[in-house]
Formats: sequence, C-alpha cells, structure tokens
Amino acid sequence: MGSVLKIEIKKAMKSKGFFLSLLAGFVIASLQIVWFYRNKYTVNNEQYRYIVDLNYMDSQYGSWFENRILEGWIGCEAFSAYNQMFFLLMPLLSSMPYGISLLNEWKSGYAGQMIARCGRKRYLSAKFIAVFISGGIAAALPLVLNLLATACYLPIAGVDPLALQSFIWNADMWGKLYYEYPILYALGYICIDFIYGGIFACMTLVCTKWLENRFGAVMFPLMINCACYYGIGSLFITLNKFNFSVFINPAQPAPLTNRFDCILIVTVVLTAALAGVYAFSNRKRDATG
Amino acid sequence: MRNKILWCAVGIVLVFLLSWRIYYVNQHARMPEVNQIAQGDSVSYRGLKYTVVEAELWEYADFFEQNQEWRDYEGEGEEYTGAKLLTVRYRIEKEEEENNLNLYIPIQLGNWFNGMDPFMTAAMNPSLEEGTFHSGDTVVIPYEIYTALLTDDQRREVEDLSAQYLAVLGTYPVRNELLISDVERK
Repeated sequence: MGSVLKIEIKKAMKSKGFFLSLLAGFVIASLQIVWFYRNKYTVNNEQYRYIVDLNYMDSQYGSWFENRILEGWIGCEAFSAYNQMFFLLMPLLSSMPYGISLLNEWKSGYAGQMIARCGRKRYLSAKFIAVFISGGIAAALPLVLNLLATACYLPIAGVDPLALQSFIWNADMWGKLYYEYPILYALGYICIDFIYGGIFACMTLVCTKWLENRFGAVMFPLMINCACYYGIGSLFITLNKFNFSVFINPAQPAPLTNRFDCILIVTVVLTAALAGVYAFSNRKRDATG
Repeated sequence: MRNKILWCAVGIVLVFLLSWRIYYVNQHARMPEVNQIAQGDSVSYRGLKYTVVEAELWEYADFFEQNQEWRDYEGEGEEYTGAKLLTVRYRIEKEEEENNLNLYIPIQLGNWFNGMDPFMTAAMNPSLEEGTFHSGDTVVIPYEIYTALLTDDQRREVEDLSAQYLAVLGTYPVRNELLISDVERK
C-alpha cells in the first residue's frame, strides 16, 4: 500500500482544495492575532505603563497581569469571535482539501483504473488515510502556526487565575496543564483537533457514496457540526461530554463537561463507524456509483 | 539540488529567528516577583501590615444555620451544593502614616480562586462601617469555596484540612501570597 499511499498523500498536498483550505485557516488565524494584539495586548501594555507610574499608595497600584500565551492563542482566546468561527468552520476547512477526491475519481474513471492496477483494498485504504491526514493538517496547521506566532509576543506561562482571563476550571479536562504547562495543553488539543479534522474529512469521503453533489458533500460535515453544536449542545446539555462539536474546542465552552475517556470513546467509535461504512459502501462500487 | 539546499537554509534561518524571538519574549516577560509569607508572619502593603491570624472552614449551610444574623448573604443555586465557607481573620496594623487599606484580598487554591463578598464582609466587621477600626484590630473575610469546581484531589485536601490556600495581596510588581495552612474545622 506504501506507494499508493505516497501518491495519494502527494495528490492531497498538491490539491487546490488543500491550498485554499490552508489559506482560509491562515487568514482566520492571522486576523485573530491582529485582533488580539490590537484590542488586548496593546490595551494591556497601556495599562502597564499607567500602573507602573502610579504612586505606591494609589488604590490601583499593584493590580496588573501580563498576558500569557493561552490568552492569545486562537484555541483558547474567547474574547473575539475567531475562536468560535474557526471551530465551527473546521469541518469545512478539513473536508475542502481532499474529501471529494474519491467522488471525482469515480466520475473521471481514475478510481476504476487504480483499482484495476493496485487492487480495491489498497486504493481505498490509501485514499482513506490520505483524506484523513489532509483533513487533519488543514485543521491543525493554522492552530500550530497561530500558537507559534502568539509565542512571538506572549510569554509561555500559565494564565494567572486571578487575571479573570480564562474560562477553564481546575476540574475541567487538563485544567492543571492549562495553568501549569500551557504548551502541553495546546499540543494535546491540537492532536485532538488533528484527529477530528481527519474525521470531518472522512465524513465527506464516506457521504459521497450517496451525495453526488460536490458542494453538498463538502458541506455535509459542517452541517453535522452545526447540528451537534446548536442542537445537541443546547437541547441536551448532559450529552455534551460526547458531543464532538463541543469538545474539539480547547476553550472548553461547556464548563466541567469535557472528559478524556468520553473523547476517546467517541473518537474510536466515530473512526471505526466511518471506516466500516466506507469499506462496506465501496466494496462493490463502480463508476456508475 | 541547489534549490533544496536553499530551502533548507531558509528553513534553518527561520527556525533560528523564531526560537530567538520566543526566547527573547520569555526572557523579557513582565512576571511579578512572588513573595510568599507563612501563616502568622506579616507582610507590608501600602503602609499597612497584614497577618493571617486564623482560618476556619465551615459547611456552607451550617455557617448560616449558626449565624442567623448573616442569613441575608446566603447564596442559593447549584454551585452551593457541597460548598464550604472559609473565614479568614487578618490582623491589620499601621506601619506608615500614609497608608491605604485594601480588603479585596482574593483567595487561591491551586489554580482556582475566589474573591470576597464585600457586603457580607462589611456586615461581619461593623467596626469598618462605624469607623472604630484601629491599628492592630482584626478583620474577618468570608470566602465561598465551590467544591464542584475543584479537582478530586483538591476536594479531598479541603475535606481533610490539608489544603494550602493563598491570600493574594497585589499582583504586580510584587505578588504577596499569604499562606493559609492551619485551618480549623467548625
């Protein structure tokens, strides 16, 4: 499968969709940095200059907090709309790169050729993995670059709980990491988002069996995500620990909800279900669909 | 081949610049100097000397049961299920003629913190309102502890009184942390 996989990954990385998706992700991540820098960091610096000039006896003297890395990282920054925008659009960003490639290749006859040359199982497995990886990269890379860019102006230190800049409680998932090892917290969530980027991309891949409209197929994971976020997330709050549209967000918008064991279960079940449906629906598929 | 070498060189330079910038930002971060003070010791802050004299931990409901006069300040809601009330007695002494009394002293346990209720604090310390508070007198500040927001370990520590609380006076340039380690159960 190695050579087929290599070809598929190369194709995925060189696709226009991948480029567009990364561009969109970078634009959101860059706008967020500009927003935070202008509206939070600069204001905080002005406050700093004001505070240090105060008299020791002034009632405002002694109360100032340095902005820390997770306050400014798009994953945890909850003051602007960019965090929500990124995580709501994440399914779209993930499925854009390569999600509909299988549909295109069935339609063009390329899939039939590949199956004849290297076998159905090898081709379909390579396709699944390549779609998963491309979706994962499209979701995770803007987060990684945003984290690096944020580290270029905010120190790598845990948020001071007294600063009232965080929405993560001690009892929240990885609460200790958030305050004491912020980079590990961010990397942990980037891994989760990589996996979910892959899962969203594979949702598109799987649904192309029934959804032949390219636009509809690319939008499918976004619709699922919005339905889960606004539907399940608002109506069945107790189910939020199993709700991927809620737990992919490192800012943990539903307090005291995320649990690693639940995330693990949902991830395994979702991946297995997608792989199963994908394998089953493509076992006898041909160019006619 | 030449292109590859060029790209590698550009990559190495970028990584170096990025690492240097991140190092620089962390070296020049404006972090406060932390000054930790043991229970019973004093800290000077804006011309006054603050000392933690004693701390008592109550079951939230029990406190109001036994102190009916402050019943008006009892909170209601889900967050009060299993909540505790920590009352901390501070001694405040005048150190300089010019001084500024600060009673907004938040308390921190691990990475959780809570401020004080100013109205309940005023009710519990009538001398502040009456203007009869003198140097060397004590002030009791109540802190609500919502155990639902704590980790299992922290909850256990609160229960067996081994939790170490920090009363924080000022956050920059010096962060004075008054350690509260000797807590009595009521």
